[in-house]
Amino acid sequence: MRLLLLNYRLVIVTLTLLSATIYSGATISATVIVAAKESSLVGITDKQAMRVWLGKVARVNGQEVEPTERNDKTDIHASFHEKITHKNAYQLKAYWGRLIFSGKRFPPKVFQSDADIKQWLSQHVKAIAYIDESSVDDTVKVLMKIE
Amino acid sequence: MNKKVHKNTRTAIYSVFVLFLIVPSLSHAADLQWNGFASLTGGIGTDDATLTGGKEYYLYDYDQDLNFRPESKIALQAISKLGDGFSITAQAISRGVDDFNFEMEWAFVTYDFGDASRVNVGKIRLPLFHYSDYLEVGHAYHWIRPPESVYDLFLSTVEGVNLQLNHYIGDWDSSLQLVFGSTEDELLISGSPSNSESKNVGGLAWSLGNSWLSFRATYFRGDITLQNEGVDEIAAGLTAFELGAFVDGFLAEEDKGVFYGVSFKVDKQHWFVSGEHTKVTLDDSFIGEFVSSYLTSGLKFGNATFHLTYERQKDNGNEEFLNNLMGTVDLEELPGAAVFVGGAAFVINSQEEESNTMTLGARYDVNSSVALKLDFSKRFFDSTEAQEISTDPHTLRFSIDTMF
Repeated sequence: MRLLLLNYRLVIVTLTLLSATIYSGATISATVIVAAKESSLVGITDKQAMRVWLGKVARVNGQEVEPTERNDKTDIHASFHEKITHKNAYQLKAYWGRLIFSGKRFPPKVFQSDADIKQWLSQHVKAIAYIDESSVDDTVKVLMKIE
Repeated sequence: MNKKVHKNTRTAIYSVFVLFLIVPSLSHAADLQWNGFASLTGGIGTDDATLTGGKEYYLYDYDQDLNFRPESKIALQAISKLGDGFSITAQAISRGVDDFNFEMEWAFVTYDFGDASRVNVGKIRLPLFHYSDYLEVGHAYHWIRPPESVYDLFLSTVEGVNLQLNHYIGDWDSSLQLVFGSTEDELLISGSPSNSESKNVGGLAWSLGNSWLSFRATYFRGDITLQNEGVDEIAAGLTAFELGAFVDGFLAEEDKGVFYGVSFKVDKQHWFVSGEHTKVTLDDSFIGEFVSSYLTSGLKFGNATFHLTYERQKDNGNEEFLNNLMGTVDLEELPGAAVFVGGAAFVINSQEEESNTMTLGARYDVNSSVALKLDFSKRFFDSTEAQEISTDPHTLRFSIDTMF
């Protein structure tokens, strides 16, 4: 009986610690805009990022770029667009619909995870993307941290 | 008739099915992207108008029975990147009014010069109106369809070239489209089937906008021919009675047509207001000028939008020509010409239409791909010389608009 109680306590403590880690992880981690390691870009501004992700420009400081997108049901998609393009998923869908069906622009390629994006970046030097800061490693170059 | 419709519908469904079967394999094969949109729109003519001669007029072609045909449609679009700045876009659309047969709406090759410009060559949309670029995409606007008083014109696409030039001035985006092309189409003149030929159509559309405010101006001209059997017979009759001098001013034969349009849109988080004004003229023909405009405004509450639209249309036939003809011809001397002069008067007078339309509507976005809409529209006709219109027709419509 006593042993069982102890076990309970241990489980609770572990769970608390674990959730604290997850919780703090969620608040601390930021979203970053990254390019392929070989990209000659060194940085990007909010305004440039907005124009790139709204398909208005295909170049940053003279360098051709190809933006990548995340599934519009993800949190990272929502927070990135809230801060960069100032549009929600509905507005973005309508916006791109107008561009796609008037034959004016191609929508960005959509990826399901940071790992998939990093894999894509390793093969596409023009590609730029937004990923969770915790996914940054030496295969990508950080262009901007979104505060 | 029914059998034919049934067969065509089945063919259309079959085509879509086959398309969806080959889409996945093609998508993997090339850098090919498929998108589509559809509107399932139904309506009931809640009241009709009676025209001269007892003919019934239903607003937007919905009679008293629930009907899905006049405005329902499904479209599929494929874009393929060909590399080195080249791409190809094709859009096929199946409309209820065309027995749901698939028709190529546009197909063009694009060359992208980079950020500042791109050129499209092929069958392209003529950017006459604010919503021309996505005219058929119901999901892209708040109404079931953009105001008919303004948007109903015989010219919509051309075979030609479209050059787009984009610039950024601070927070403002400027976009200039230069278009040149020609086309042929079918239309109704005074209610009878006719053909149109539009040559040397050229002009520009310029828009300037920021994140919430935009302006647009359009100018196009073209050499327009509107061919109709009845109109031709009247012209032949006038010639036979030595009134040939009038024929040129009556027929629409390679005559200069001009289109002007201006529009604005204010789009804020919780409300919007926008308006458009257009004018069409066709020199030396039975057509005088068509002037129309609308003003629309709406309130947004989360996923719901409530809106109100006022449209005005004022079309005139070439009255100056008619007055000239009537003033010159002495029908007592030439009684045989009366039927042709009368015919010319009928064609010119039947161009005349004056109406105001009000639309009250609601849109609810179920999710980012599906929107439900409900519009109630009522048209108030002013009776003209040619038409005595008794009541004000109204129609209730609903629609499911999707984008995929």
